[in-house]
Amino acid sequence: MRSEDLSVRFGSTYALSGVSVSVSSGEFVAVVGASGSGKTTLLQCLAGIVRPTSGAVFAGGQRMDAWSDRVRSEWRLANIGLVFQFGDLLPELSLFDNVRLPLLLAGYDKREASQRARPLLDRLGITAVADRRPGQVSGGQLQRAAVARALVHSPPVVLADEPTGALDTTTGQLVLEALLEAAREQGSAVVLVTHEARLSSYCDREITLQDGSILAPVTL
Amino acid sequence: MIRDILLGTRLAGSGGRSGLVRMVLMATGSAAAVFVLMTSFGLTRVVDGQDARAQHIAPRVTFGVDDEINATLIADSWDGRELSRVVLASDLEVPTPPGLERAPGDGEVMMSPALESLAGSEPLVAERFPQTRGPQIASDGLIAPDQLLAYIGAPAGQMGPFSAHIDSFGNPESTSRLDPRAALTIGMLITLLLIAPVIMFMAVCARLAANSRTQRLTALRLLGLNRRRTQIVNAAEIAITATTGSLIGWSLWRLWLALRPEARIGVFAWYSTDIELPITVQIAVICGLIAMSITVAVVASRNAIAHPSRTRRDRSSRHVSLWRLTPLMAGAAVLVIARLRTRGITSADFEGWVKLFGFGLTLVAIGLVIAAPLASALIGRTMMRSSRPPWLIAGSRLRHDPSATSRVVAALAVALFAAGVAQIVAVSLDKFDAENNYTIPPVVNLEVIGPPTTPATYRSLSPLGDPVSAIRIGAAGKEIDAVVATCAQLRTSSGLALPTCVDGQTQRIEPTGETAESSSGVSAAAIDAALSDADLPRSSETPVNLTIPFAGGYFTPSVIVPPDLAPPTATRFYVPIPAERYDPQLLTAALASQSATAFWNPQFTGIHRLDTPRIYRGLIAAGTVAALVIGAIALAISTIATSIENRSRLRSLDAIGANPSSIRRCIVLQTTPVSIGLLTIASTAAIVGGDAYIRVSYASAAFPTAALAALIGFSAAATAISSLLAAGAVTHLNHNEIVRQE
Repeated sequence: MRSEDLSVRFGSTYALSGVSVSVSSGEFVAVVGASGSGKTTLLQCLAGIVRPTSGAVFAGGQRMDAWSDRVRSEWRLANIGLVFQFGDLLPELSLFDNVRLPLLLAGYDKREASQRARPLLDRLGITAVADRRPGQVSGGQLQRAAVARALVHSPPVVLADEPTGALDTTTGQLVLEALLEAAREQGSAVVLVTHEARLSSYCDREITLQDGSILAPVTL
Repeated sequence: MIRDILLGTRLAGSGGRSGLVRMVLMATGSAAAVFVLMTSFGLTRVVDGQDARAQHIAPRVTFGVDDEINATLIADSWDGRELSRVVLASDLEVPTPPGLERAPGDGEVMMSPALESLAGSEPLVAERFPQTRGPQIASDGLIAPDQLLAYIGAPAGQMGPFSAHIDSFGNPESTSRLDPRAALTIGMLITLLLIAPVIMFMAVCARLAANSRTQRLTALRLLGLNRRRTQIVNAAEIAITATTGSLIGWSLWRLWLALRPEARIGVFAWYSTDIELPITVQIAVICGLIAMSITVAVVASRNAIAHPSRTRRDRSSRHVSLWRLTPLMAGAAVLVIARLRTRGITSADFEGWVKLFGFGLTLVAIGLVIAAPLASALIGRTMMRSSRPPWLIAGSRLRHDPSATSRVVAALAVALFAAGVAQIVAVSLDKFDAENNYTIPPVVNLEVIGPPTTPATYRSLSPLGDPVSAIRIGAAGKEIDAVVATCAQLRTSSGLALPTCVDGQTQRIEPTGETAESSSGVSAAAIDAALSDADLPRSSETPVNLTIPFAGGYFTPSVIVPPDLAPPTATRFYVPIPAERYDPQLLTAALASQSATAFWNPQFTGIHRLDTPRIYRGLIAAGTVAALVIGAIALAISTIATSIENRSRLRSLDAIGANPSSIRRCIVLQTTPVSIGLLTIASTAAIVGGDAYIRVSYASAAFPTAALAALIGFSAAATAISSLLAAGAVTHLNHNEIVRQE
């Protein structure tokens, strides 16, 4: 997956300006920068959620930003796992239902989806609270459910937007390690957006954004 | 406090474009509510106002003074509308009618604007008034702008039966034709039809953006504002929007009155001066709506303001308790009791029971709204069993927050309930109409009392000068040929077709050979013989089809309608006219209208609104439409607003790859099954409850299956359209725009 000369403008403000990045299969990339530097926007462009104002995003050699909403959604469902800062789980569904949701959307029946979701819940240590809804569990449990949801369909790419930003250091570290370990086992590439420099040490490469532009690529 | 109010005022305008949309929606709701309430309160005053107008133009009449007869009052109808004629003696002293500067002269007619307009478009009406047109009757001489009234001048010697002496116009002792029982029923219906959905509508509008407002208020509480001050901010925020909307609605109402001195809803027309409300009532409506909006908003936010720290984490399921069934059960119980206690009672003794039935029906309406979350929870539980994500998500939402969807549909449910009851009452009005003989009395023109015996008799008859003479088909000479129209052409003097007239053919009379050879017509004796052969006078059971020769050709078809086949309400006239003037389309009206006094009613009548039940039906129909429209708008607004408010949830779905159609299905399923379920229950309850009422009130009623089907169909359509609009509103939001806003 790569982007070429990516620019995104909201009104008169450029969130991204001329950003070119690439992520290879199995690679862990950290995107760091201060608040408002364009990290989340870059992630959303790579996920096909936000359409760039100019430039291009390529997925598997095809120009993704030219696809229709429907095609991008289908591609995202099959190829991307997303983790957000506050989990962004559906509040009315239990953690278990949230985790198996991508599989149900992809056409799996309930039994098959359950069979694939349970081991992941076990592995992330949230089986005991799987029947609770997001509002009834702790922040750490919620983020682990979000990680499980991102990985349950074994996507080639996992995009994580400050997945530990709302957690304390210890819980955050546990969640991050769980995410990276599971991703590594599945062979998924990970793009980790963070403003905490220490988290970038878990990654192979670091991209620093400042005011919407890449400051300097660093290979760790 | 001033600072808190100012802060609330500032918050009302904050929130960017979505905040503005919410504010506009709320203001629109307030404006619509004020407009509808002012109109519905005004309509009850219109009925009183028109009663007063009727008394103002009612004549003071003295009977039994044959040598002083100066007027004949004739109540007639046109297409179900009352058409009043007042024939005033042009050669005697008569009082000047209201709305005119002088009484009509001989051969002059002064019409109301509505009658003049009708006569301009309907030749059959115009033919009834061959007199010279005088000035129009002004509004102060009319009950309503659509009243069909004419003052006609004619010599006193031409006055027909039931003529009288008019002393003056304006009779305050004239009794109202409004039935108290019907008025009470209509009053309750208007309340149920309009005010209940409007209140629900306002409640829906006041709860718009409850989540974002709650977040703001929570933040203020966490900053250190106490409960009272936070509620003041909350109240000020709502009050500013509700006040703006209410004043806009009031201004539009005033503008409507100013620009439309005459208005109409369906068949009910009125002068704007009659709908004017006292200023105290106008202030009460505006203040009441603002107070209600504030109350709803304050109640909706009370938990968040009382416990700000719990708000974000409190995601536990909303428990739906069975007590919610209490008002519904109580309403049903009241209806059952009322039904049992009034078994066998006649409608004349029923008046006091209307209130009990009304109370029961109102309780059922309120009960439906309160019990709605139970239905939501039940439907949600069923939907959650599905493995299809949209059903699973929508079902979970219904299960865990059942009140949300039921709030969305509440206004339309109440409107549908009221509409269902209204349809029942509308049906009952027909019974009421029949029981009270509220029909326009038949107008008599020429009565057939027997056949003439000789051609000489035919010649001597004048169709209009001798109303009790026998005017019978005949071809008594060269100048007069036999003419009778077909059933389709025959009409009463009101312009209506004869309902029981049947065309038939039993005997044909062919022209004689001599007639064909001479081509110069037939003798009167030959025609008389032919008529005699047709056995017209004796055989009145079967219509006879005649082909009667006349000079230069034949009349075909010529169907005689024997007197016995003409309905009692019809004007019966079989008249001879010259053949060259034969025009089947205008025949009856032309002949019947040549003289102002050629008509009379079988009893004395006045200038009234004899079509009161029709007005009631019109009001009910208008109220029903208004209530359904308000309910549907409330449904659409709240569905769209709720979806927009929950768009972050939908964005989450989009982020994990749900395609747009799945998201749309999610939105539709969150409202459609519950809405259709609740609205079907509301419609059915209305019909069943109303049916109980009508069976007691009017002894018999037909279950209006068609009305029920129509209401359910409307519910389904309104829900589907609202859901699709909501889905469109959310899925067409540009992702970039969402991200920018967030």
